[in-house]
Amino acid sequence: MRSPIKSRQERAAARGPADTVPIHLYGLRRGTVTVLTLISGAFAVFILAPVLWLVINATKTQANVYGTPGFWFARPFHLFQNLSALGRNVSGAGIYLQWLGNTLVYAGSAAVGATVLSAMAGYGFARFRFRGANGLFYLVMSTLLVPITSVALPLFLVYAKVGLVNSVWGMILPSMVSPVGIYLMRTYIDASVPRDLIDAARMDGASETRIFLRIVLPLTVPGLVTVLLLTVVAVWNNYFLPLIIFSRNGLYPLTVGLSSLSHAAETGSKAELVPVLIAGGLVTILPLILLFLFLEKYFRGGALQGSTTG
Amino acid sequence: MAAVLLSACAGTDSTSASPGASGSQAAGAGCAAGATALTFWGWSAGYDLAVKKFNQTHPDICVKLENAGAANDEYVKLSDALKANSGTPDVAQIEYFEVPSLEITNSLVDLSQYGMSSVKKDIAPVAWSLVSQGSKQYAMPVDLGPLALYYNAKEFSANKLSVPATWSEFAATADKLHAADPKASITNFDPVSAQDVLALMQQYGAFPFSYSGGDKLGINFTGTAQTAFASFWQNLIDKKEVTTAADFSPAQWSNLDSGANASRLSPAWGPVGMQSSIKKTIGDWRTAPIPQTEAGKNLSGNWGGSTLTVVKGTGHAKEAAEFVKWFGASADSWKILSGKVAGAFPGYLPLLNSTGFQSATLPISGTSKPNKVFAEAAQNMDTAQWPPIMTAALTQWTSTFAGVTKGTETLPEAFKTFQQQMVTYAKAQGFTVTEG
Repeated sequence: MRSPIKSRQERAAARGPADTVPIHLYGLRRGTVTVLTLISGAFAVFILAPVLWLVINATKTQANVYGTPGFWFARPFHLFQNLSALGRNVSGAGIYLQWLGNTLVYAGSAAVGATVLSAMAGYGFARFRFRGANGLFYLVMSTLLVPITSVALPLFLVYAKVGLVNSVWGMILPSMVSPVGIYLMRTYIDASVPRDLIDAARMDGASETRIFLRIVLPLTVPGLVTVLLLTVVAVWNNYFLPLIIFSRNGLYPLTVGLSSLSHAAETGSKAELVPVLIAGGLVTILPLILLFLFLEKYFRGGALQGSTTG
Repeated sequence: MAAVLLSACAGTDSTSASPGASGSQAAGAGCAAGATALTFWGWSAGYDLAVKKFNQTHPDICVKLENAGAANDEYVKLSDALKANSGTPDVAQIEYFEVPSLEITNSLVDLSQYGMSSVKKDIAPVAWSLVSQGSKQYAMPVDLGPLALYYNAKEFSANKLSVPATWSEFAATADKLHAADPKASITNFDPVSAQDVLALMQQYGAFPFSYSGGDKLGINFTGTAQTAFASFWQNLIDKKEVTTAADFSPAQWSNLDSGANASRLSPAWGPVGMQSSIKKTIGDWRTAPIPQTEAGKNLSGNWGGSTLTVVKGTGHAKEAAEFVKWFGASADSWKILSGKVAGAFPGYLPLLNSTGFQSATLPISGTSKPNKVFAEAAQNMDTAQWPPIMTAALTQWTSTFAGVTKGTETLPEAFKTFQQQMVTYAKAQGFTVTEG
């Protein structure tokens, strides 16, 4: 949420003369810029305040969470006790670290799988003509319209039949299929992999596999990273599917685990679980933030490329 | 989004999907070879410790505890698994109010055939009758949540208030407190918390449901007692003499600690959790019997508490029955369940009536002995006749009663609306409904 003026200067410094277009040439007046900056500033506060609250309250005891101002620290400093409780089964609901490990496995494998499948399917839809291509594509898209809550029971019955209840595959396999990913990859490949290039490669005798691996994939890295990130986030935050299919806390991902911890903390017939819950919430969002920072350049490059060449 | 595509995946991958397949392959580490494996779904704190103890002392049976979610999450999973006829546990933790719902779908094993009568004398009569229907017994009672008045003694004496014995004295005390200190309210009443309100209604002699098995169901939110109850609390809400914060919310805790609430109509399991959520008023809290509709009465209500049930479809009903019997009615088990970690309030009479239990103290209430009052309350409760439609009732309740908290409707109005909603729902489910 930097101000446009500042970021213009920054970009100018970073990329040279191409970006040094004065603001007024975009048709923006200084007043407009200020207003827009204020609005985005307000949004930044709106988004970041809860995160700040998490950081502060993860350092408190339960009585202090309720009894002291939410946006300032209080003694005693309890962060390390709260964090170390994440490694133990403090609530009877299971161990936080185990849920974190599960989430990493589910999100990691589902994201890699979804990226590979989306790239293949997207390439197929974008660059091959076959009977039923359009119908098939619309079928894939239409699955976006079915709310998962409405199919909860049939989903469970099917899972029970094929032995996917209480199985990690029950979580990973369906998460590897991403209609949004397929759509994105189709659009991206349409925009950034010229047909002529593929024809030229075929002419030179490259096999289809080689074309896909050596030409299509390298040209679509920003798109791939986008799908990867989107899937990681989707699986990381998925609550409903694991809630239905898992009845063992050793298999829970963070979402369901935190919810059971929250239930234990709420009815509170027991020790101080609320600050542990808050610390758990904080640790839950850190990996996603790190992932975004790490992959940001690919992600941003992807968005730009799609918009200029499409 | 997964469902449509799932069949495609599952078709090709059914072989690789087997390692995690469900079922009662509970025998894990720490179990003797040849022991009967039981799967147990439960969520309460400390249950793992009790299970461990059981497995140590019963080498022939090996119980594996799985947390399949708390309360409604678990009930949904259980009902899904029952429909799929696969993946059901042998034993499941079920709250009292949900037992009839499972009973009517024929999902529970009748325990009376497994020699439960030997422990009947050890269980609080109200708990026993909550899980029985005629000669049949559908669950083993574990803990209870009798209500008492938990009040801030310092605040009471600072404002020269005496402890109210009846609800009319309670209202007068509320007036007096609010006049002395306009920022103070006598207590908190959360209209959205169905279980809280229903426990108070039960205590008020205004429990809205009547049910004794079968397809006949009585629903009455608009009778004389129910309307009196609703008007009583609406009057206090209107005068701002009670707050309407959500139960267990930060607002409730800070109200109790700041003096904005001078008392809490607390279940027996309440003080332990409250103790870790407040700090300034630790040591100031005392316990008194909950106010009565008439002087001389001595009635309490029950909020919370669980049972263990044996689920139909188990291949080991006898062993499962032995486990639930031990869990709810043995000194070994209660030593753990009433301990620091679990903190459950016993329905097990040998413990409930023991001097050691009744003279226990908590830092939050200084040298006073809250368990004495709560234990007495546990002996003075009527049996709530929970209807077999509680899942729907609890879901509907939240939206129907939200307006009372917001001040856009009154409690008597919400009762009227809820009456209609429940009658319509119950009729659609095939019940013969009596109103009033």
